[in-house]
Order: sequence, then C-alpha cells, then structure tokens
Amino acid sequence: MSAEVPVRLTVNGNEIAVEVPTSEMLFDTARDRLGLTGANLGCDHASCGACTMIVDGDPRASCSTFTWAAEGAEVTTIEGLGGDSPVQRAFADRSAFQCGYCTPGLIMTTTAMLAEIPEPDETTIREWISSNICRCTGYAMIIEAAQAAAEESCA
Amino acid sequence: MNGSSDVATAGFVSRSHKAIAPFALERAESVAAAAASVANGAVPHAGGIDVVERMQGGAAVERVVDVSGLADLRQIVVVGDVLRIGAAVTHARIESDATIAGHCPALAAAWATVGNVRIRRTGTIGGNLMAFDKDYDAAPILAAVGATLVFAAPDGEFRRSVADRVPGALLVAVEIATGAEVRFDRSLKPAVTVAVGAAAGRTTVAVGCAHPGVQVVDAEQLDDLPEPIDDADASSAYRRRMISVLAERLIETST
Amino acid sequence: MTRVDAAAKVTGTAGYTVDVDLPGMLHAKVLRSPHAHALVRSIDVEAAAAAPGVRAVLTRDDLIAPLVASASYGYFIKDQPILALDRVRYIGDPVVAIAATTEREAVAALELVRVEYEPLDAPSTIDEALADGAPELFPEAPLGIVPAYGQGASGALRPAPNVCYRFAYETGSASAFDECDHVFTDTFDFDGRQQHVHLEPFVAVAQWTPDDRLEVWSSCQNAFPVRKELGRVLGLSEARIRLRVPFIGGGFGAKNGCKTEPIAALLARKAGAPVRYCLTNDENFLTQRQHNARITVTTGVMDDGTLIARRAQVLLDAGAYADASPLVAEKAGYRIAGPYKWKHIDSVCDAVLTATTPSGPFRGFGGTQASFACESQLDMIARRLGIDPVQLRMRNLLDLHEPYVPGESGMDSDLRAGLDLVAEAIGWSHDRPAGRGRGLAIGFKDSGGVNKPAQARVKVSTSGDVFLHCGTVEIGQGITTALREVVARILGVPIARVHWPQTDTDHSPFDQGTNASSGVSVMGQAVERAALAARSKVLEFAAGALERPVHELDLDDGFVVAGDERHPLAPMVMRTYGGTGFEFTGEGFFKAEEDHRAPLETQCVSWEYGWGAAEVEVDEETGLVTVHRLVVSGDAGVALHHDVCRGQDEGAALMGYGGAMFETMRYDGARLANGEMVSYRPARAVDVPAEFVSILQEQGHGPGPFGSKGMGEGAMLPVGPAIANAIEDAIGVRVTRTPFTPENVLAAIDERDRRAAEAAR
Repeated sequence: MSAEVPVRLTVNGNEIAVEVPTSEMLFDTARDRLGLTGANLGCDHASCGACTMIVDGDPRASCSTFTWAAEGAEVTTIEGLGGDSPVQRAFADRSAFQCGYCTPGLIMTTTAMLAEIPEPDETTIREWISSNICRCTGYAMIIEAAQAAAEESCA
Repeated sequence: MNGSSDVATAGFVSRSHKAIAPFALERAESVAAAAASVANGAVPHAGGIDVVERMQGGAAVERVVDVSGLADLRQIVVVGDVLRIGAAVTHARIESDATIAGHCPALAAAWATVGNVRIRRTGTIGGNLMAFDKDYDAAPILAAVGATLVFAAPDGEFRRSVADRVPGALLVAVEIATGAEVRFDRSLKPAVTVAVGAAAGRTTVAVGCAHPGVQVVDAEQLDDLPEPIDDADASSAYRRRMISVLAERLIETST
Repeated sequence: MTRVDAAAKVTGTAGYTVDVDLPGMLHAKVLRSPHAHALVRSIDVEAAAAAPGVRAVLTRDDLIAPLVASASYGYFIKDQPILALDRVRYIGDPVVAIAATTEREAVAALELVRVEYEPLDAPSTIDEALADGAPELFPEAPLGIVPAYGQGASGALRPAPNVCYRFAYETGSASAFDECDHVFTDTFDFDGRQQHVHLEPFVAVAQWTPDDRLEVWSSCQNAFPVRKELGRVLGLSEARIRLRVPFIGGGFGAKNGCKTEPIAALLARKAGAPVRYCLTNDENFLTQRQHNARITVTTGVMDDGTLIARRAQVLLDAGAYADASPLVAEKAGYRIAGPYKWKHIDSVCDAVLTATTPSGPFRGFGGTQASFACESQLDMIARRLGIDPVQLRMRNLLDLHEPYVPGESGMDSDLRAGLDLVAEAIGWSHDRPAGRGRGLAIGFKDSGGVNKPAQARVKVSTSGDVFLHCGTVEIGQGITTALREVVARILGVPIARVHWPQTDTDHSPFDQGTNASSGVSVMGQAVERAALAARSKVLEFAAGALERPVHELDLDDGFVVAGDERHPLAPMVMRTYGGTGFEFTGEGFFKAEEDHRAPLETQCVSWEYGWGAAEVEVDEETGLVTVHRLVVSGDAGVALHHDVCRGQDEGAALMGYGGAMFETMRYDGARLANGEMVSYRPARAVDVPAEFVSILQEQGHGPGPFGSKGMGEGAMLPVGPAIANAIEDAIGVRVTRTPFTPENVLAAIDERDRRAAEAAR
C-alpha cells in the first residue's frame, strides 16, 4: 500500500514539495512540517472554522482537508497575511476577538470574502462568518470589523 | 455524526483526525477507472466533507479514489429537456451556475441554504447524497423534483431514484427535468425538512430528517408516510404534524 | 486603545496549551464507558500494553500508592475517580488511559482493551434519580465538607439518596405568607444542559523533571487550586508541582478544577516521558456541562404588586459527579429571590446526581437558572394582577446600596436606571407591531466569588518599566488589558510598558482562580493596591533623592515630575543603587472580611446585573419563535476598556440566547444524542437577532479600581426570561420550559388551546 504521496503546493507564496502520508491533513502539514501554527484545531468536524485556510481563494477547513487534495493549490494561512492586513488591523483595532482561538480562522474567512466581494452588505457578512464559530464575542463586533476592513480595502 | 469508534463492549474512544490510518490513494483518470475502483471497494473522494467525517469517526477505509479531477463529474449541461449536474459539482456552483439559473432557477434557490459558505464551496451534490445522512438536504430537494441519479459501474451506467439509491457504486450525475419547480423549508431542522416539487403536472413532497431515509409521496398522500422517528431531536407526533404544516404551506406558495 | 493581546491574536502567534510541544512528547487517549451505570468486573490491558508505540497504560490498578495517594478528586466532595474504580457512572466515564508515540497508536491500542461490565439501572433524569428505590450512583458517601455558612444559610452533604448536596437559606418569618393577598406557585423546567463550547478543548501537557518535579501546562482557569488538588491526589507536596497557563482558548467556567491534568501527570510518570493529553471537542461534551434544573417558586404578593414572601425549591441536575455542584447549588439557592425587597425568603436547592455528563461551573453559575424562574414568574404575577411588568419591578427593586438580605452587602447599581434604559430601547411604552410581543427581565447574581483572597505584585524597574505579577489568566475576557491599564494609570506609564508574565505557580502570587467575574472587582483591588504601594516606594525614594516632599512628586513615563522639573528615574536610581539598577516592589492584597452575619462566609464583593429586553414573533402553527430585537445592558461601574466590556456583554447575551432558544445537550435516556459541535449547533452569526443592541452602563458604584466592577456574566441572565415574557406578550402563552424550541413552544400553545376549549365547554 502506497501510504505516502508526494504533494506540491504553494503556501504563502512559497512552493513546497513534501512527501506525506495519504491520511495527513493540511492542518498538520502546515503545523508540523512548515511551522505554521496559527490555525487552531477546534471541533475537528469541519464545522467550527478555527482551522480555516484559504485554498485557491476558498476558505477551507484544514482539519478535514487531506494535504494531497491541495495538490497544486495556492494555500494561504494566517501567517501569509503579513500581520498588518486590513482585516487583521480591523480585528485588532475594534477588539473583534476575545480568547483569540477562533480569530485566525475568522480572519481567513473574512479575507476570502473580501477578495471575492469587496463591498459586502451585512447579510453577506453574516452568512460568510457563519462558517465560523466564535463563542466569546456574540459576533456583532466581528461584523463591524469586517465592514471596517471592507471600507478600508475599498478606500 | 459519530466521532468515536466502538470497541466491542469495552467502551469507545473519541478519535481525532490524527487517528485516521494511511490508505491507498488512487487518482482516477476516467469515470470508468473510478467506477472500477469503487466496485473494488475504494471510497470516492471529491470535496471530502463527508468521507473525511466518516474516516475520522473510525470507518475502515483502505482505498480512496480521488474523483475530483474528472471533468465529467464537474459538468453542468442541458441535454434536451434534462438538466444534468455532475456529482462533483459543489453546492456553491449549484447556487450560482448560469445554466442552472437558466433552466432550473428553483433548484438554485432551494440550494442556497445548504451547509455554510465554506462547506458550500467544498462539499458536492454527490457527496451530500451519498452520505446517506437523514439530516442532509440534497436528498429531499432532489427527491421532490423526481431527480434521476446516474451511477457508473464496471458493466455500464445504471439509474436510480433518490429514494432507491444504493451505496457502493460511483455516482456520476444527477438528472432533473428542466423547468422543475421546487421549494424547500429547513426552518425546523433537526426535527424535519420538507421539499415540495412540481414536475410533469405532479406535486411531490419529500421529507428529510424525520425518518431514517428520505421519504417521497404525492402531495395528496401525506397520510401514507410512515411513522416518523421519535428521538431526542423531536417527538414523532411533532414531526408528523410539522410535515403537514410545512408541506401545505409550500404547496400553497407553489401553486 | 488596542487590547494588549491584539497583535498576538490577529497574527496567530498567541500560544495556547494545545501549542505546547516538548521533545519526545507522547500522546494520550482514553477508553470511555459504553454504559451509563455499571460495575466494572474486569479490565484486561495485556494486548494493549504490547501494542506498537504504547509507552504507558493506566487503569484503576495504578491508582494506589506509591503512584497515587487518593484516587478521586473534586471540589467540596471528592467523588470523581481519575479512572473508573468499581463502577462507571455515565456514558463516557474514562476507564483506561494510554500514552503512545502517536495518537493513532494510542487509539489502536485502546481498541485492544477488554472490559467486563455488569450493567446497572441508570437514573438519567432528576425524577428517576429521586424516585423511591432509585439505583444509587454512590451507595457509600464520598469524602466531603460543608463550608462555614453564616446567617440563615446551611448546607448538608448527601441529605437524600442521589442528592450530593443541599443548600438552604431562610430569612424572615414564614408567617409573612399569611398577610399576602395572593400566593402563586409556578414550576419551571430549565432544560439547559448547555455546553460551554470553549473551542480550545480540555488539554494538559505534563512532564517530570530530572529533579523529580511535576511540570504541567494546562488550559485551566484556576492553577493554584489545581496544583493543590493534584498534590493531594498524587501525594506530592506543592513545591514539587509547577503549573503554567498559556493563553486559554475559552473556558466559560468549564476549565476550573482537575480535568486532564491527573491522567497526563500519571501517564508521564509511568512512561518517563512528557505526555500531551488533549481531548477532542466531542469529549468536551462528555466532560462538563451546565446544570439543567427544575425550579418551583411560590410567591406571596399584595394586590398592589408588593412582593412579600418567596419560597423556592431548586433541583439541579448535577450529572454523574459532584464537581462544582455544591457551589452552584449554593448560588442558585441564594439568588432565587432576585434583586427585590422581601420580608421572607425560604429556599432549598438540591444537587441531584444523574448518570449523565457531570455538570459544573458555567457562566452565570446558578444565576441563569434562578433568573429564568424568578423573572418569568414576576411577569406571570404582573399579568395575573393586571399590573404592568415594568411597574411591578420598579415597585419592588432593591435600592442602590440596600443590602440584598440581612447581613449582606448592598446593591452596587441603580437597578431602576438600568430597567428604564432597556424599557426605552425596546419601546416598552409604544405600540407593538402586529403579531409581535415584548418582554423584559433583570438578571441577577452576586459577583466576585466568596471569601476569595487576591494578591498581586507590581515591580518598577530602573528605567520605569513595570512588571505586574498576579495569577489571573487571560481567557479572552480582556483582563490583561484591564489590569495593565489600572497599573499604567497609577504609575503614569503607557500600557505598553507594563509587562504581565503568564501564570506560573512557581512565580505568580497565589490566586484562587479566574472565575466569578472577580478579575476586576477582587483581583483588581489587589493590583490597585500593589501599584499604589510600588508608586509610594518610588516616590519616597525620589523624595529623598530630590529632597522634596512626596506629595509634590508624580510619575510620568520613566520621569519623576516635580512641578516644572522632569527628572529621569534611571540615573537617580543608579546614583543610589549602583549601575546595576534596582526594582521597587509593591505588594497588594485584598479579601472581603469573614463575616458570619453574612450568609455566605463573607459579604459579596459585588453584584452583577443584566438588564434585557426582547421583541418576538411566534409562528403559532409550528411554534417557531423569531426574536427580532434583543437588547441587553450591563453595568461596568467604570469601563476600564470600553470594547472589552461591550464584548463581554454581547458574548454573554448570545450565549444566553443560544441557551434560551436551541442549545442543549439532548439525551435519549442516558445516551447523549448530539455530543459534537455539528448537531449540538452553538449559536452562529446567522442566529444573531436582526437587531442586537447592547448598552454599556457606567454607573460608577463598583468596588474595583476607579469604580469599576466585574462583568461578563450578567448579560447572559435576562435573555431567556425576557424572551419568555415577550412570547406571552405576543400570543398569551407562557413557556416554562427551556429551550424555546418550536416543539416546546407548540406544546405550550396546545396547552393554552386545550384550556380554552375546556373553559368553553
């Protein structure tokens, strides 16, 4: 049984070639092989979104995405945003986080949304961030941060 | 959903994705090859939402066949008066695809609430159907429009209705009559979902969540539905009553 | 002002216990009971121990000296075994633990374990547990204690079979009922087995150092009590245990007390290697939950709405082990009167053991259950008497500074002002849109813990940098921002110059735990005193050096200011203490005085209120409730950080909303039916009411620094009763059972229709 597969993908702009077990998830490849520990493991059922990365433009639950399934893909993790992206700045400035565990995932979802829909209305924002669970904030401040990031990005 | 593996009578272990054992991976280059793999016991993987969940829950999977690269499974085409949607088409594409919008806008509208934004971009119509999960939405919506499921087996294609679908074969596409009407109400999940479809002069009601599998009846024959499940999500009596309420509302707004 | 943890959290560099990765670290998993109640006849781990990668196996046979001094842990009652001993008491009770090189190997090995059980009848509900002849989960009484309560309060261990604890409180004479014009009795089923859903699961990493000390990293809210309990269980002196707490990925009460730590420590001991024991999120559902409750309230009232007397019986479902249930029983029983004037209160609260996931601390801590019953019944009484519910409350609310009950501290918010605010915001005095109803409620709980000591140390370095040492942990509530702000203001430095090392029991001053909304109102006072003490030391030193009186001096960002003069601190310090510099250290301590006139050991430090209002619409054919508008308001006293306080209120409100509307762990008998996040479905952004308004009050009466007070729980409490009250306002149907699922609401509608039909006959 060929339990290992070669995978080539681009992570945060860097071309990566790895040999991974077929069962390895993108979450673990990033964390254990590439030292990208920003994504967090939450529900482990592709439901809570704490592990979200952007794969070819789409938000993906990295806990449930086999690394080989991202063959040839452009992957962006929270580390790939540079630390001072409009979305990161908006979340920081507006305290749109509390414990912070869900925050990298929410920032990735928001980033993917704004790349596709630069001027989302509130309903659109609610729908997108409903891909993620934040147990701390009650979401209102996150919605406002997404709106602020959109305004800044469009300005 | 089941995140744990039963260990005979000794107890159970709650597994994380790290407990998934490595498996043989086949990357199918044709539908025929994929069908052969599936016939030999390989599990098809397109978006991976459901299959990964099952593997994480401890399902013994030794072979996986990646069907995401098969163009046939990602096609959306109209042939005559049939809209054919490939099994690996994502929920997001069903919601936004121009062909579907042009030939079956009701389907796109009904599909808009499946999963969440992230799931919709990864999960596929085929994966949702072939998960055989009573709470998933594809089955009642498609059953209500009388969809035909096209499967590939080593000895050729075969077709099944949604209610009669069987595991173990490769789902290739879903066929729907163009212009089919359908409305879907999921507001009472997880107690019950109801879809009402109209095609070829018949009004069909399909019910999700309330029975072990999707139930399909003519609108006039709601009373023929088997007794719904009685469990922690809802009582059987509530489910039965709500099937009528939701179905009647949908029928009213459909006609 | 940006929160001090913003950069770490928006870049993903914030480190949590799940991120701790030690060389040679093993991974632990447990085998869990398939039975709700059974005797454990035999455990065979021979094949498992020989399986690939396995480094240590732990069963009940190991829970003896010299490895273990006491096999069970707990708060007041030491009844929860590290692993099953003679019996298992709920589906999911841990039986065998294994540490292996990888998690997969640990799981594979556990699949080889053989266990023989003898199933017993399992009481899975309060009724079943209290029925005559019910099977007892603890045939013999576990070790336990009752605190030294004061005036009117009492506690009892095991007053009845399957009741692990009883709290009772009484004040005034029962004859007060005799003078009442009306006496109403109503029963409420708070069916809220709510799950905390902290996204970071329970997790600990343990290792034994070469000098034979136990080092543990844990996602825990109360490191020092866990250190003490670990020491008791493992037979270790406290000096041999070190607990460290990185950032915590949410807790909401769940992360108090031992969870993963004992098993991680023991497996590490047996394996001779570091062990990471990280639960899956599914296992959180098998570890801790909120208490569901049945509450019967009898209230005596005059024709004009004056409240006179209240009798209450609260039954809390404690689940399989006592955990914090005695404390929750104490609070639910004590708070059931609400913030109103009474001549007589008589309440009893029993914590009932059932064969289900253990209940424990949960944001609101008994106040959620008590507020639901109290505030629902007040509205019912108002309607029965034909009095406006707002006016009924206004007539009876305690005044600012008026003691809650005899011997207790006074209210530290103006309750009427808060009620006015939310009544205005919901449009109480205006017409309702067709088909809609409005409701209000006031949530109430004491705040700051009971008899809780707090201490802090503040150091000022040569150049004027500041170090704050205290054991409170950053669990998301923003405490590291709030208390650094306190220190920064007192010492005249920008907040960026105040450093706060994370909790480490080897270095942090003792702390009882980050809970009970005590961070600002209790620890805040210790921090304030420590900062003032450090400031005095610096200024006294400077006064000597500058030959100026202390009162003429001030501190400003590393300078000593004397009138128009600015003297840099560093050269002044080095002239006296030498080129190596110096640190000025201030210590601060705070604890409410023990006071046996107060019912609960000490007077409560503070009180937390949540004012709430809702506007709803009900689909009477399906029972589906739509909340169009939700208003909540809390009082921060003085907000040390506006956005942090706002976020606490809104987060609490939405947690209360989820619990009120749909969130609960649903059981089929003793089997948990929705024990993972997909089918449990915690509130998401699409669930937030279309209009969600939070109003932050700063009334200025708090005991904390600058008039601040604890918050973060209050806004959870009024949401459920406000919605229930709005439902009755909309359709004339009282829903006494939570959550307000369509089926529960439709059952109440059917009941109304049945009664109407009966009346018509």
